[in-house]
Amino acid sequence: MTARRMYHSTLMTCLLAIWATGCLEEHKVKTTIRADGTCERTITLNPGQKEVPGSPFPLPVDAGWDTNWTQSGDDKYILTYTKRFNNLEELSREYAYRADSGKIRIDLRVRKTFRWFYTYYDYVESYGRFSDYTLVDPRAVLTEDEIDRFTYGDTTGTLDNKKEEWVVRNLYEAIYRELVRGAEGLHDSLLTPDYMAAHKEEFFRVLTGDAGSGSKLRDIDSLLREQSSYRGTKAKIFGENGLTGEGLKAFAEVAARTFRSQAIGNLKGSIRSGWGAALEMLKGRGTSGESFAHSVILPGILLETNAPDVQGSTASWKFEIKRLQLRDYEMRATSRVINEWAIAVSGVIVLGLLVLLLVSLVHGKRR
Amino acid sequence: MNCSQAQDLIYLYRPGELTGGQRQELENHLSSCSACAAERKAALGTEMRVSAIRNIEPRLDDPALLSGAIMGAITEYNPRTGGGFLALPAWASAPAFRVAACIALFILCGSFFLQSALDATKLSALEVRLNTLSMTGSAAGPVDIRFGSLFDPHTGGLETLPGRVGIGESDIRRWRNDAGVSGALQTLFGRPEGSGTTGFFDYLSKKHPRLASIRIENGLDDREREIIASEGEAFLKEVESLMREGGVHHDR
Repeated sequence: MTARRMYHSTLMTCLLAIWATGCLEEHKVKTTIRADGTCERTITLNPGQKEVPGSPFPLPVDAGWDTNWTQSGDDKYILTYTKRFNNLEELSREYAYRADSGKIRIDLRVRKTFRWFYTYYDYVESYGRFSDYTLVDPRAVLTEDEIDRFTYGDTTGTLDNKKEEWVVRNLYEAIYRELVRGAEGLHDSLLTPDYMAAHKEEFFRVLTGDAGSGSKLRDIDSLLREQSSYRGTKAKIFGENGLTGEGLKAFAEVAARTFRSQAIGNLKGSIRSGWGAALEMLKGRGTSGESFAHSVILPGILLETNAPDVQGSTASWKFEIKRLQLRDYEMRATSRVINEWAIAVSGVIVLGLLVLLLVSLVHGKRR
Repeated sequence: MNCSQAQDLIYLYRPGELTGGQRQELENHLSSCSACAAERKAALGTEMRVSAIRNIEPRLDDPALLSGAIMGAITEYNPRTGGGFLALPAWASAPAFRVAACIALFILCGSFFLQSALDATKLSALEVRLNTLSMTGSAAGPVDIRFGSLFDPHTGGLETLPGRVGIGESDIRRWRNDAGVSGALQTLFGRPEGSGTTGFFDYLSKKHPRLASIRIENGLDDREREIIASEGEAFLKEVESLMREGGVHHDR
């Protein structure tokens, strides 16, 4: 079980249920680019029922796409969208619109560069960052290198812990902001915004068990229980709707001790709405189970790509939607096609020049 | 005036050419010397014929025939162009043409080979990367070591190894290309801050506690050098073989 799940399992039982039964659909996107510039893109989904799924992936809506339903078994359906493009510009323009904020922003650029002997095809497609965890910048917790590694599939425990810390810091920020807002309304001489800010990090460490950077976060359920009057009891701290009544009291007790003010006990409404905001964030964008299997077939020989899997001139990427939480996911590939006619023409030119040079030299010697 | 002096003046015996004295002396000599008088008569005849030719108008029946004949003769006897199979236009023999031809050949061939070499470099880098990925596990591989996790080229921890412990540089280069091995080495030798340990690294640390205790960033003392010299090579081989097997699993 990952750190994320361990933390959240007790944090929000109900959300775990959402994750467990949520959509774990795989979107297959296959793009074929031919040497003559024509292209084809196919998007395949397995929605189960014969119903277009509500996917964060921007599914085609215009009539230019062929939509096809095929039955793969009893009540199992496969939905396929296909579109042919006459040239690379047409394909690049396909996603050149401002995407709905609830959908993943896709940016697709394909460029053909003529270099006499060879023609190069540069393919760059990126899925924009897709996350509701926007209160804390990932760079506050992770380095640029770590962000890159997480995005491109690194599943190291340490890195996962740091990413989890970033998620929890976002949740904490939502709760903390509500607390500050509530404290302002109290007009308490001690609970000023500056005073709250001075104890912000300390409270975070209390709630996460003072875990060091990269360490696994402790279970907040047991932390709240241990540090409150509910220690040793079987009181239910979290329920289906977040904090229970006991949980709220436990949280207020811990907060009052950290901020050294019993006035915090009057902020139960703020605490509850803070947890509500955190809950919304947990259910937000980028937290569902979709995954993407993306492949591109380029003409000629594949020269460069950041794809983890390459078969001939096909580059493939496979990633889950959570990889888009920290930054854009970029897929790059470059291929090269040999211009045989250009090589033939160059050969003739070289041969002609060589003959002329030779004859010219022979005549020069005769003189 | 003697005959020799008279011979020099005979052809100048025309109005305006001689002074009055010279003319008088010449006339006196011609009247007394028959040879010089005969010479003077012959010169006079030649002058009269030349004058007659000057008065004749030039006439050409077929001018084209003449120019054709001239050009033909020039071509036939021009040693630079000659004729037949090896005929070349004049510009083709110019040194400037030769230089230009050489430059054109150089550019054409050079750009082809340069472009091909650059592409070959990219291709080989791609192959190395894909091989590394396949060695350290693809998407389905052991997750803890998949990307070598902790290798950071900026720390230089691995770079400092060859000179200090006597491990061959080729080995280091080979292992450097293996992200997983590099990551393991970096963790054990470099210990980047906050790296933590996974089951994989714990396993190695337990098996090589003496090596794991070394902190390369603080420099090496004699005892640490001795540990690396005695256990380093075996450890690196073990790491490599573990990586090839797909890493250490927690139940191992």
